[in-house]
Amino acid sequence: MPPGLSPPVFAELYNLGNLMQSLQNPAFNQAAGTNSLRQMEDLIRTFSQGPLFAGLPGANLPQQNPWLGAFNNSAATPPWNMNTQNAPALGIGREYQEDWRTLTGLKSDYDDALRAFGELFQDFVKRASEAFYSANTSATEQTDFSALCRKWIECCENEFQSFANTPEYSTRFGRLLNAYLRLLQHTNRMQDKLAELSGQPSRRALDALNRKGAEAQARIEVLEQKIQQLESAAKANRKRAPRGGRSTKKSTK
Amino acid sequence: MTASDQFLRDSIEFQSRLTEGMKVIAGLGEIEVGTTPKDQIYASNGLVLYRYRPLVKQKRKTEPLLIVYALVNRPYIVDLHEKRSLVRGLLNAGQDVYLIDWGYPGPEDRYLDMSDYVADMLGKCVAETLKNANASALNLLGICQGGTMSLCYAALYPERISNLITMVTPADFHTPDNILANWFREIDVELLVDTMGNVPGILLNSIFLSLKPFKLGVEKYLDFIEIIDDKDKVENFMRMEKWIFDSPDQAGAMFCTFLRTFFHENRFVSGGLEIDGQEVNLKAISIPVLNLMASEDHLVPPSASKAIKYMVGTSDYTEKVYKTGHIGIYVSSKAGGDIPIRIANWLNERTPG
Repeated sequence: MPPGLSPPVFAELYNLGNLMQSLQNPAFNQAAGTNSLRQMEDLIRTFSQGPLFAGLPGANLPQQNPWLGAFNNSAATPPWNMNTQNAPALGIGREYQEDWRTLTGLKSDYDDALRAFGELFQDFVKRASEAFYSANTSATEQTDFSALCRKWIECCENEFQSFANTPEYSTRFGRLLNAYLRLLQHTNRMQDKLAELSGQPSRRALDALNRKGAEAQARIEVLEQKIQQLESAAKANRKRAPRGGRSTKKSTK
Repeated sequence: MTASDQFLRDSIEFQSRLTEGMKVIAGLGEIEVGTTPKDQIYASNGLVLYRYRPLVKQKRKTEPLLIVYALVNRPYIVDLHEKRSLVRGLLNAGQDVYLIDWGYPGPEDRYLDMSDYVADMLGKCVAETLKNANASALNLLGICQGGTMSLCYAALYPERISNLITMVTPADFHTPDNILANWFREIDVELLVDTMGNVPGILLNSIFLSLKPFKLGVEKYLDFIEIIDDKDKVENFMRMEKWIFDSPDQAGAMFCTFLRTFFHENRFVSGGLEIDGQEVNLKAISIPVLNLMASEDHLVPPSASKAIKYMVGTSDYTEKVYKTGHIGIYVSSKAGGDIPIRIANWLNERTPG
C-alpha cells in the first residue's frame, strides 16, 4: 500500500485484490488442466455471502446498533429471560424485560431469514461453478489471467440473473429485509425510551416535530394561495370599477 | 514458457497493477463534474432550477426544454463531462435547456409526498421555467423515475406541456423481466419508512448493485485495472464512481407512496392513481411523446417502458431502443452525439419554425 493511505479509501480495490487472489488457485488449476470444482464452489460461496448480495448492511448490525452489540455480547439473551422466555414479566423492570424478550424473538427471526437466504445460494453456487468448468475456454483464456477472470464473471453473472429473477429469491430477499427492518424498528424504540429517560430528544420526538413542520408548511401554502387569489380578485375589481368613481364619492360629502 | 508459467506471470502482473492503481487514484485530486455553464433561476428548500447558457446561436425559436431527473441519484449525470454530456449535446443542437436539481432531502423532508414532488415542486419549476423563458408551454424530458413523474405531470397539466420525452422510464412495473420490481414487491414499505424515516441512499445503492453483483462488484474494477495507465480514462472512471455513490436519501413519504403506487400496485396499469386529489389518467396525454430506452437496462427493462405507447392518448408516439445500459444512455458517446440530435430533430419537426 502506498504510504499515508488509509485502507478504507481503497476498500473496493483491496476487496478485488483479495478476490482475485482467491480466484488464482482454482483458475491456476484450471489452466493446468486440473479440475478443482470444490475450490471454485468455496470461492463463489464466500463471495456470495458478502453484503453485496443481501442488499443490506446486515453484517454490520452490532456495530450500528448498540442494543444488538450488547445482545450478541451477552450470548443472545440475558440469563433472567433465558429460562423464562414464555413467562409474564413482572415488577418495575417489566417493560424492560418485555423489550428484551421481543428483541430475542426478532433477532431469532432475522437469523432464520438470513439462514434461509444463505441456503438458497447453495444451488446457485453449484450451478455457477459447473457453468464455469463446462464453458469452452479458448486458448487465450487458459493462459491469460484477466481473460479467465472475465469468463468466471460471465458464467457467475449469467447464472445469477436467472437465479435472482425467481419468486423464491424475491420471497426470501423480502423476508430477510423485512426481518432486518423489524429488528431495527424495535431497537430504535428501545433507544427512544432510553433517550427520553435521559432527557434527550428521541427519534419519535423529532418525527413529531418534522410532521408539525410539514403540516404548518402546508397550511402556509394554502394561505399564500388564498392571498394570491384575493389579490388577483382585488386587482380585477379595480380594473372593472368605473373611472372617476372616487371623485364622485368625494363630491357627495 | 509453459501455459502455467504465463498464467502465473499474468496473475502477478495483475496484483502489481492493482497496487499501481491505488497510487494513481491518490494523485488524482478532486473530480469535477457538471461543468457546462449554467445559472440558478429558482431555489426553494434545497431544490434548485438551473438554466444552461447557450453554446450556439439559436437558428430558430424553440420552447424551453425542462429536464426532470430521478430522485435516487444526482442529476449531474446528464452533464458528467464535456465529452460525455447529454446537456451539451442538446445545447449544441440549439435547445434552451433547464434542469431540476432535487437536492438532498433532510429529516425535515420526511413527510414530502408524491403530491408535493409532482404537483407542487415540479409544478413550481414548470411555472418558473415558463416565466424565465417568457413562454406559455414547454417541452418536458423525464429520465427514469423523473420520467414517471413527468408522465403524471403531463397527464394532470397537459396545457403547459408541448412535447414529452421519456428516457429509460418505467410505466408498467409488473413485467416479468423486471427483477428490481419483483424484489421491491416483497418489501414491507410502510415498515421500511417507519423504521428508517428517510430511506438511506446507501441502502438503495446496495440493492441496485446486488442486481448485477459480478459485473458491478468485480468486473467494473477489473476493467479499471486495465485502464490504469490512461489518466483521462481513470478520471472518467472516477467521475462515474463519484456519481454512483452520491446517492441522496429519499424522503420517506415519497418513497413509500412511489413504491406502493407503482412497484406494488402498478397504478398506471391498474388505474385509480391520484395525485393532489386529482385522478391521473395517462390517456389525457395527447401531446407528442418520444420514448427512449436502453436494451441492456437492468433497472428499467425496455418492457417496462414500451408500455407507455399503449397508456398515453396521443397518436404521435415515437420510440427508439439504444443498445446500451441504464447509465450508458446518459454517458456513452451516444449521449453526446446521436441522442441529443434525435431529440432536437424530433422537437423541431413538431415546433412551428
